[in-house]
Amino acid sequence: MEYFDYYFYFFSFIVLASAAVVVFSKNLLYAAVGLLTTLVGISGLFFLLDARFLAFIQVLVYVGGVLVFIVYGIMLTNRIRDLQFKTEFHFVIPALVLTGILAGFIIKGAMEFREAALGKVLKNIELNQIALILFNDYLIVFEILGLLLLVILIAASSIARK
Amino acid sequence: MSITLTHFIAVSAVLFSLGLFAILTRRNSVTILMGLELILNAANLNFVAFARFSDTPFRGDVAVLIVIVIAAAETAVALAIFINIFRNFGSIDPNEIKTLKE
Amino acid sequence: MQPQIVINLFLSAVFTPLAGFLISFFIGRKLSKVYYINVIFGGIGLALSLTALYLKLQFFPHENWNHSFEWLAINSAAGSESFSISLSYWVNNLNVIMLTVVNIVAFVVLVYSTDYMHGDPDIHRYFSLISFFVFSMSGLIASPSLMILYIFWELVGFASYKLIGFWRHKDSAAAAQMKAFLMNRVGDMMFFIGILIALIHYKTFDITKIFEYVNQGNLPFGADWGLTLLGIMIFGGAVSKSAQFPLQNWLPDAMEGPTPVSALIHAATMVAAGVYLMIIASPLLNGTAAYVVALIGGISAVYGASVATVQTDIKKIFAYSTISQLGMMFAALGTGSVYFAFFHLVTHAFFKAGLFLTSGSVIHSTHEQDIRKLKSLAAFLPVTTAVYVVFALAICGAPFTSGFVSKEGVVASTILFGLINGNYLIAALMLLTSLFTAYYSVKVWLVVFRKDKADLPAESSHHHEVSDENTAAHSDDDHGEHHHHIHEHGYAIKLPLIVLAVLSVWVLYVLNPIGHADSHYLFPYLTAEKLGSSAPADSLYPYSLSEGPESELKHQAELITPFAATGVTLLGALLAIILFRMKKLTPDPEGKFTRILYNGYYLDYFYTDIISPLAVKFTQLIALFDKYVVDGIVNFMGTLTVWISTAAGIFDKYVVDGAVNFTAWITDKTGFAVRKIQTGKVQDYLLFVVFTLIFLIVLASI
Repeated sequence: MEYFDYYFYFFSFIVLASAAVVVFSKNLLYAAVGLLTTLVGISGLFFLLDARFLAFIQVLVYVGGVLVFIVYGIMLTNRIRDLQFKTEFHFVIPALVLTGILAGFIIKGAMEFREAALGKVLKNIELNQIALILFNDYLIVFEILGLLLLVILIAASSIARK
Repeated sequence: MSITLTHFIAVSAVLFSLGLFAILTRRNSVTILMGLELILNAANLNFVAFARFSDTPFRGDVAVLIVIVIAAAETAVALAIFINIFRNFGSIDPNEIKTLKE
Repeated sequence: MQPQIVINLFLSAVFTPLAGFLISFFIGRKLSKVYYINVIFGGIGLALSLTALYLKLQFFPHENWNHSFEWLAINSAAGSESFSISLSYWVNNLNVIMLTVVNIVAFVVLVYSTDYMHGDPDIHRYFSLISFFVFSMSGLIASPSLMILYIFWELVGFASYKLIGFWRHKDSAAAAQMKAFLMNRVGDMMFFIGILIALIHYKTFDITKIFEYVNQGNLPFGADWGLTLLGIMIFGGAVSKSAQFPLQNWLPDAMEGPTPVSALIHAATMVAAGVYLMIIASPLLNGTAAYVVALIGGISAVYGASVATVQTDIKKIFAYSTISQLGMMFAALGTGSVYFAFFHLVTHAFFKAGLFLTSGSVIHSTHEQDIRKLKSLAAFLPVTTAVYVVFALAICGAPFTSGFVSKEGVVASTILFGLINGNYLIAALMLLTSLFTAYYSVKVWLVVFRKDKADLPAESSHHHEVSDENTAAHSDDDHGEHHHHIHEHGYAIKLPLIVLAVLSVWVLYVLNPIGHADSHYLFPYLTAEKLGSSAPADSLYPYSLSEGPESELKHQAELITPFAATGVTLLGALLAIILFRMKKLTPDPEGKFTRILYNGYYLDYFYTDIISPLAVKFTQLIALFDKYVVDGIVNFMGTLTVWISTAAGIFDKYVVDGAVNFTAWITDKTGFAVRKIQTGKVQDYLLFVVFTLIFLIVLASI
């Protein structure tokens, strides 16, 4: 066992455990905190895979932006004065069975990759290599994303407005 | 036993299933949105993992960047819609919003 | 000197009127004097075309440029050859000269119109239509592609249609417009059929390519009659456009339009487009088709000239005269002298436009068109009278005018044709035409212009009144008494007349007024480089005065002509003078003999009273057939159908309906059972989605 393995299991545990909190917690605020740790754990996994830029972006955008946004959503949509953050479940048994089967299928499919070693992992991925791809091959996608964000900005504000 | 691609995929599979479970069972739209975020993160993890184990290691990173942007956009719109629905229905339980049926 | 310079000048001259049209069409309503833009653009077009003409003849006298761009490639079924429709233009001596002639007349008419149409509320429409017409005419001249040519052919027809009915509040103008339109349809349809024959057989619209095929012996339908048919069909278009027999009736009625329009469109250019078409298509004419052209031309020439002798409306006289002059061009063309047809076209364009503008000046000054009410205008309109003399001499073919030079060629070529074939019919028709032409020209001079001391009121020298009838006719005029003081109008009227008069002098075309054809200035340019190789063996060229080799017969023809032509002209003039002395020059148009001529040999009535009722009878016959045979079949089919449907209805009721009801019953029950799935809840649907996904994965992995 190497340090890499320890780190992998550590982050995986954080991710899965806090994801379970997100899913099963009846308190919305707990779920939000669970989501926070899940996203941080994913960021750690990215770091393990040498995707340092993505790990950074993950924390910045998701944890800093999306999560705060979601907490705002909780505050605005639940009667905050009554502190009714609790939510309920339904369809628990069929959903559990179906998602379990689906996960089983995916993991069964993933077994084919047991031989793939991490030896091919590249160290010291430079940000400029990502940038080169993004601004050469995916330049139009990038531009469209910019446009999308503009549209979303307008759309979200116009929908939320009274 | 060292860590292989299978391990990463297994983690992302479980994460995906948890997200799907949340979407299927929770009765609060915000939690459903969280489940959606879990699914997207599972996909992101897959992207990076596959990219690292392939010959073109950077394409996956770019895809993840795009997914993050779209996820952020989607969250913004979804929350705006939720706020509107909450105003109109007084609730964000998706099962109570079924005027389409009537 | 680059050829491209000439080509660019040529194309600029073609498109300049379009610019004038667009400007005055779109902003004409808003600005009051915008029509001067049309005049300026007309001047620019004239300058461009004159420059192009000079450079072309100076530097490239032996070159034809023919450019085409593929516009639409049509690939038919596999195996058969594909063909493409191309946009094309050509620049050669012939069409550069033609374009210049059109631009000269157009500019002159535009200048003239600024005075003539002054104060008309629709003046901008008038000028934009004139510009549009000039552009269409230029486009017609610029294209060797029959299809493009046909498009512009219709556009000039359209411009003519709009301008005939320019004064749309007049019922007669609307009727004349419709008549011109309908009669042109007949010829245009023939022309179109000709184009289709060429297209079907040669898979091209380009006339030069068609010439090549014909020259190689590749004839439509593989036979000589195919070529004859093609030639006659194309000539059909020219017949209606140039108002030839038997489709000539629309031209006199077209005089309902403003007089400058008559000068430009219905005398100088558009009606000459038919002649131009036959000139460029002349290599396609074989002996038979050429003889048809010559015969139709000869008949029209005599028809027009003879009817013109008794007309009372000054414009109609010139309209019938136009028919006869165009007929002479076709006669020259049909007897092989393409050069003289074109030469006469050019000179005729100037002197006939001049005659119309002269009559316009008379009408503008006196507000009277009936020659019986006009008298002694020479005293009041000196310039108009002077130029009328020049034009009249030109149209009669008097020496030292352009008309003499070209008309001599026309008559000589028909005489040569007679000398070669022994068929003097067309030559005789030409001489008869000359007689009538001289008669009506001199008659107009005597009746309208000649200063007659007896007619002049003795007490006034500058306040003239034409006649008492005039006073009576115009007493209800808006302008009251002022119009009775006849005087020349401004320079906008006078200058165009003088320019056209100068252009009708022989020196501009040939130095020696009775010289040989070879001494014409234009001659070497037009015969040096043929537009296309001529038709095979049976071609019209062997008979040609201008194109063929020198021969004894030619000299003979050229020797006979001046005496014969001048002789009959003098005879005609003499006849007019004698009748004038006998006071019988303006007979009652309803007289026994004159009535026939006055009504144009009743051809109008032939169409309205014989052709139309025949067509109606024919349609009634078809209606009877329809009623008894077709309707009978239809009714029988109807009865049969009712029987069959009754049988089918029984089958329907029990078998089909039963099946349908059964299906409905099944559907109802199933739907009732299944509808519980449709809860309207998002998460329920999602559950189904996941379930289906797993089901599909299991299916795939089995």
